Amino acid sequence: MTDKSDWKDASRELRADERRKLGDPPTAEELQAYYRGELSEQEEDRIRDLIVAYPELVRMYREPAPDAPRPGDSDYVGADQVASGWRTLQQRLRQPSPARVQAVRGEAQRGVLLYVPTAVAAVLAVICFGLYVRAEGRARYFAEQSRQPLILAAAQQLDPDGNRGSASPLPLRKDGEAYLLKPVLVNEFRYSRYQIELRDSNDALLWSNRDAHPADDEHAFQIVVPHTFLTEGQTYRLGIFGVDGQKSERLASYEFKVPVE
Amino acid sequence: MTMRSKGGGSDDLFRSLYDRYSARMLRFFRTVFRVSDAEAQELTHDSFLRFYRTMHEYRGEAEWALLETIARNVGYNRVRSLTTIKRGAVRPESLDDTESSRKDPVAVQQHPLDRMIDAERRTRLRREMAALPKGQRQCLQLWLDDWSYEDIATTLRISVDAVKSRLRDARRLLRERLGDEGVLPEE
Repeated sequence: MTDKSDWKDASRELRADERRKLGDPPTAEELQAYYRGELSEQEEDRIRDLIVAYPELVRMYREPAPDAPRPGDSDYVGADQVASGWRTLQQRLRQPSPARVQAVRGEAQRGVLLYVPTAVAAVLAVICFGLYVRAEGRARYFAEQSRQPLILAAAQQLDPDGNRGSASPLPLRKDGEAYLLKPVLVNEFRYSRYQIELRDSNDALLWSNRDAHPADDEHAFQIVVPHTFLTEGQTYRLGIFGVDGQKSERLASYEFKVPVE
Repeated sequence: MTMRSKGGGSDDLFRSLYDRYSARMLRFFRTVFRVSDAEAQELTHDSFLRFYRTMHEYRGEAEWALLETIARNVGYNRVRSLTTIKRGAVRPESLDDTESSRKDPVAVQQHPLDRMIDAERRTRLRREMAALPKGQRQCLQLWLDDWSYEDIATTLRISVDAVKSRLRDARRLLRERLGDEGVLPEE
């Protein structure tokens, strides 16, 4: 008769095949959404397959948390150690995080809008004067905004197109004064630098950053975009590229739509 | 950094939460994710930093529950990224396997013919397991990992009765297809 260890071995081999076929384990966010029943049937099915392919990870994810250590426990942490840990944490807080791509401000716009060729200005002085006044006001507004604190909306996770959920552009929620976009990059963290591009629906480049890094352990970038940078009702596309020397490779794109108030 | 513009009250709260829960979080990482002390410390700080970034949304409720959720995600994603890097390099080996359930090292020295017969049997078992309806195969694989019916049910988001029924059907099918060789051991 076949004993249980034979079955276990067969199951392990089968699991190795499954892993090769299915790819990487689910992310924590996918697991959360799965357990909350927030996924489509098809997506739920995909995560269930991955769970069976990576059961040790999922068991770890669901393992109950232990109680706090008490005095006398081998891993009890005294007040001195907590204070020391706090000091280390403060040092990390003071370091500007490379993960935070605080990039989309008004500064770039300012230069573009202020640059009006002199020759055109001479011919269309009146029109240009009007444009200039308007642009100057707009630039001042952006410059002023870039120096001011911004109230961010809750982070809005963007999943790569074609990877999850609906194929239509994600409608952004308009809270606060700026959007905090979190494009998730699935398993493409082999590059030392990443390029992020923001384009409008006509594929015109609005903003680009070639030295972006994902947020620590979040498998996502964080991009602050002031509401004023985007036009209501318009669809935009973010592209993420892995940068290796002079070469870059497109890794994912994300489409989203700005709501009309 | 945007976070530094928070008021002193928030910073006090942050400090207070760190004082109260950092030790518990360290233990959490060591025991649940089985990481070293240094890694546990780093993951604890990562988790508190992550909490700090979204602290403006915090309403002062369920302190540990919220921190635990953040820590769980941070820890899971760390382990996951390691798994992702290693994937394909080694054959999967469940952390839940006990030593006794792994192949006896003596088996390596068995006669080549016996080894071949074992390998063929495992191939047959694997082929027939793979041929089971997906729901049955999933229940069977988790059951072989010594998961309880309740854990399987929760994880697959089905009822305990459905788990039992699928396992029963899987047993029957394997027996039909493999004869005596396909008899699964009882609990």
